[in-house]
Amino acid sequence: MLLEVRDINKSFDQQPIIQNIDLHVATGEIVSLLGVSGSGKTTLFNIIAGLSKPDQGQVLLNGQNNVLKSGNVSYMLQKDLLMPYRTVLDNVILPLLLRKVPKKMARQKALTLFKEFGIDGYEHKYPQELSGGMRQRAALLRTYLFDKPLTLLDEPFSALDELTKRTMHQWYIDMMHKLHLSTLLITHDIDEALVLSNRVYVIAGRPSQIVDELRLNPTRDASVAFELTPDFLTYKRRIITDLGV
Amino acid sequence: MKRLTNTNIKLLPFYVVCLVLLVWYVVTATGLIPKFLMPGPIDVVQAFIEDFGLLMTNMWTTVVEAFWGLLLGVILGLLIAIAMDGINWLYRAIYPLLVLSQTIPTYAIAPILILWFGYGILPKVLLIIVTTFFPVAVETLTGLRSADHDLIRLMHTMGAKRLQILRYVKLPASLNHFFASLRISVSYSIIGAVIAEWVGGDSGLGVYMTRVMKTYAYDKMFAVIVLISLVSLILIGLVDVLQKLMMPWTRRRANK
Ligand SMILES: Nc1ncnc2c1ncn2[C@@H]1O[C@H](COP(=O)(O)OP(=O)(O)OP(=O)(O)O)[C@@H](O)[C@H]1O
Ligand SMILES: [Mg+2]
Repeated sequence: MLLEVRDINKSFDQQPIIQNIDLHVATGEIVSLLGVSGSGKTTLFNIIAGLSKPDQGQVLLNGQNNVLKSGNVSYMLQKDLLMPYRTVLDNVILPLLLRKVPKKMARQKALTLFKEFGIDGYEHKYPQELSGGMRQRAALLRTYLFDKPLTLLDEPFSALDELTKRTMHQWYIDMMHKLHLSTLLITHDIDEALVLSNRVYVIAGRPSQIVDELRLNPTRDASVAFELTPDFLTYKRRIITDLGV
Repeated sequence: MKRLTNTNIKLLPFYVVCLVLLVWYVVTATGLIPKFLMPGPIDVVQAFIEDFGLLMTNMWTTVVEAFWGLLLGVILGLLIAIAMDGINWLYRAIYPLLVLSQTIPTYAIAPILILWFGYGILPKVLLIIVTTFFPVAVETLTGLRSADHDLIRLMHTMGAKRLQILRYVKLPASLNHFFASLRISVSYSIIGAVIAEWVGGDSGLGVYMTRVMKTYAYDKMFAVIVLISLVSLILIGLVDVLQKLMMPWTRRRANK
């Protein structure tokens, strides 16, 4: 198993935030973690990424303990966090530079991917000259270039408008297959979770626990938009009930 | 009243300078202030032309002293800032000392430095180091500490080491502060050089000043004062150019 999270608990200031969290991600899957704002999703990601210590529980990455070991997963944080003082090209190569890849080689490698990520022509611009969608793509490219087996995305599309979001979803699914990525992503958009994922974990309660796990039918008919099928509505109703909203 | 247009606002400082020069000219030319106490602007220009060669040689001495003092002072300030940012106990140990050091009137130690190190360049450079490192250290430290915490977390997720975080996040974040302090330190460095030269030296604008003072050559006094402020202005201009070169992204327009 690529990622296994076992029985994680975490409190802040004696206030339990998440409790008994169990989840896993297999190679090649897109898995969503769905929950309301403040339910501790980012907190869980920080634990998985090795940035913060759980009060209890295990994080196994390919069977190896990853508690407080940062640098082993490609993690895109909730903000795009592009550096305003570096061009887009120099932003995305950052993970390569940190790994001591010579700048010239890093740039060459990144340049071949700009078209794929839909930001060709923006290589030498500064992030503040890009639209929100473009910045998001640049941040995704940087995350991709970190090149770890598991990708964590914290609300990657939430800053985008509805139409851009749709394009990005389809694009990301295509990219996933082409680049053989495995993704765990956070969202509080039910439609997004259903459209993007193979599986959805629903996190709710106080303290938050995993209250449901949905396995979406992998052989769904690609010729019909999934959002327009009765199945989609059934799933959506189930999640709404889970969340109690 | 007519509203000022954009170009007029830009030219406003120029008009003010012209007005000051005009007032100066009128009060001296009409004898409102006697000529032996205060020369007119034209006398000053004449004095400047007359002593041009001498002024340039002395200016060179002062500029060289200021350059070395500033360079070493800036390096020292940067090192102190980086060390204090990186090592917490050092921050606690040094910060009070650093503030205390600023309660000493630094220019007042010029005589001691001259007594210890003679009439050469060394005491001047030392005095300039003492006066210039502080703004750089304090401002740069503020800049280093203002770095975006989320950006630092991002660096951690990518497995960055401390020095890499310094290089890719903290130093860029402190550039604005650094240049602000550099502008201050540049003018401090010229003032420091001139004051140290007053106390003792063989050449430099400060030495030139003490010499013309002894002959009551007011026009030359004014000429050298104008020259000193010109030199400072040019150096500050150079800092601005350097900042533009080192921070090219500030010239790009934001998307929104
Ligand atoms: N370092 C911290 N110290 C104290 N409390 C914290 C800390 N980090 C998070 N919290 C608290 O934990 C709770 C969960 O925060 P978290 O950021 O994980 O939520 P989230 O599910 O990611 O929310 P959102 O969807 O708004 O991003 C919040 O109540 C927050 O105030
Ligand atoms: Mg969050």
